[in-house]
Amino acid sequence: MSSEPKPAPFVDELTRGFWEACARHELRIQRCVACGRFRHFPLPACPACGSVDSTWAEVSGRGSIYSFVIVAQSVTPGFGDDVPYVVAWVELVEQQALRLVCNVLDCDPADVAVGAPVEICFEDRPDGVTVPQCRLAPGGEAA
Amino acid sequence: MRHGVAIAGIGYTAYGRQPDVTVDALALEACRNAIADAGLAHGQVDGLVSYHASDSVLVRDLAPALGVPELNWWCDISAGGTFSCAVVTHAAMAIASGMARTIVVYRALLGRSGKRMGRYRGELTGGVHQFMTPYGFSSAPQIFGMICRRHMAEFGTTKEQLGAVAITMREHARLNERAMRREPLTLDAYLASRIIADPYSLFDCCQETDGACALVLTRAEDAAAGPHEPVHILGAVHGGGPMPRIPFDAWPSFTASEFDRLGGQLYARAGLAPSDIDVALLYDAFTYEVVQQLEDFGFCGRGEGGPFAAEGHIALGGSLPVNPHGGLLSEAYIHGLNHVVSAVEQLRGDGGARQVPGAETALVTGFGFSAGSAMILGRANVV
Repeated sequence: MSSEPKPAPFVDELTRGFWEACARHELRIQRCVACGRFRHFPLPACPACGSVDSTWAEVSGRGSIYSFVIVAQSVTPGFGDDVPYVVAWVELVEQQALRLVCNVLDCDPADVAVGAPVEICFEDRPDGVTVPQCRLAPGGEAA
Repeated sequence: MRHGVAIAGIGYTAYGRQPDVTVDALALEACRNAIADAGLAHGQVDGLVSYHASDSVLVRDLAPALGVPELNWWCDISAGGTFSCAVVTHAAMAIASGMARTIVVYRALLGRSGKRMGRYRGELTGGVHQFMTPYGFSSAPQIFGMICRRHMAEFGTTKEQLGAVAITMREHARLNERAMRREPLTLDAYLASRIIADPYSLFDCCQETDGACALVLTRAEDAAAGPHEPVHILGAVHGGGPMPRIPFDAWPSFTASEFDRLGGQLYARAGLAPSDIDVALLYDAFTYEVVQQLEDFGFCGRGEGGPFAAEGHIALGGSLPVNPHGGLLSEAYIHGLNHVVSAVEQLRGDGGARQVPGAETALVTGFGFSAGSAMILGRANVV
């Protein structure tokens, strides 16, 4: 059922800055103003220093696959035609353990490996939602 | 935590697909069986506790039919398998503090015919799920498959080693008359089974179950007057790391669970070492979780859990028999409380064909990776 929409994020005040940046095709990650640590998923205070002051800092969009699964049996609306599809935890180069969930687009799942470098891209969905995604970096090799 | 509280009774229902019963009836049956097993009568309970992720029955809904005249302590916990041991230690703390005298701990669910945990939960697009569900990332095999994959990549853990866990659990279940899956499982059949979320295929995943089980906790002196030898809590832990939630966002290392820390705390509290454990009831919603916990609790080194399982150590007759009842993978998925029931059976010497000879200590765990609970249970002579 390719016409079935994929689930859209339920955006809240804590996460609005992230999704608004995505709509502009910018990857902006919550960053502590006091100590400079990035955090994702967003949190109302910095786990490291406790500061509640944060900003949305643009990051490079470069990272690597920390782990991944290949979903063969979809339980999510709108994904039935996509199986098998890859879901990855992508670790960004800016900070250790700074990770986001993406699908690895336009790939043969057999080419996906832990450590493989990726680049963030943006997927504009028919319902007007833009989500960050990733592709394997050209010429990249798994670490 | 040798605080004068003991497990005096166990009870359970049939496990399987039971579309014609209500979850309330299952809860009631398991609790009544546990009360009878403890040698107590209707109306002799004054505390209740359960945990409720997915399908369940709240304490306030169960208490009237159970005939609890005075509820002196109760707790409804919004959690899953992470709490399968914590729910017992919560009850123990309530008794030790004098809040209540006789507490029934239960878990009941129509996990197959009611709410199915593996199915898409469409309402979950807020909170952390706004960063997951839009990617088709929501079910437990998908989320927990991520930690398995990382271990495979870092340490070379193989699908065949995961298969050894599934097959060992199945071999144990074949000795258990109440297990849901008792037909043989071969490595070929395991490897050929349909993929759910690679690295997990069908037989890496636990059984969706309609059923219930329950325990009665009392003061140790009350338990000693009952029909069975009391089972004691030698030590317990219940905690989490800096990011204790699922799906482990920002978790430092996917190959080190929070049990890496809590395991040491548990042995220290019990005054025991890994070599003192006679039987282990390890939370096994998925095969890899056994591998992870073998390492976390010090039965083998980091990265060695796969070979340890494949070499037969975890089978009955091995150096560390794991889940002699067949586990969540092949006995049933009562959210881990059936592991506690099995541990009590083993320590009473009532394990039948699956009894670990002379078992006096049992490690029981409730696994959530970034948080969890665990206990070491023991017979009176090791208290």
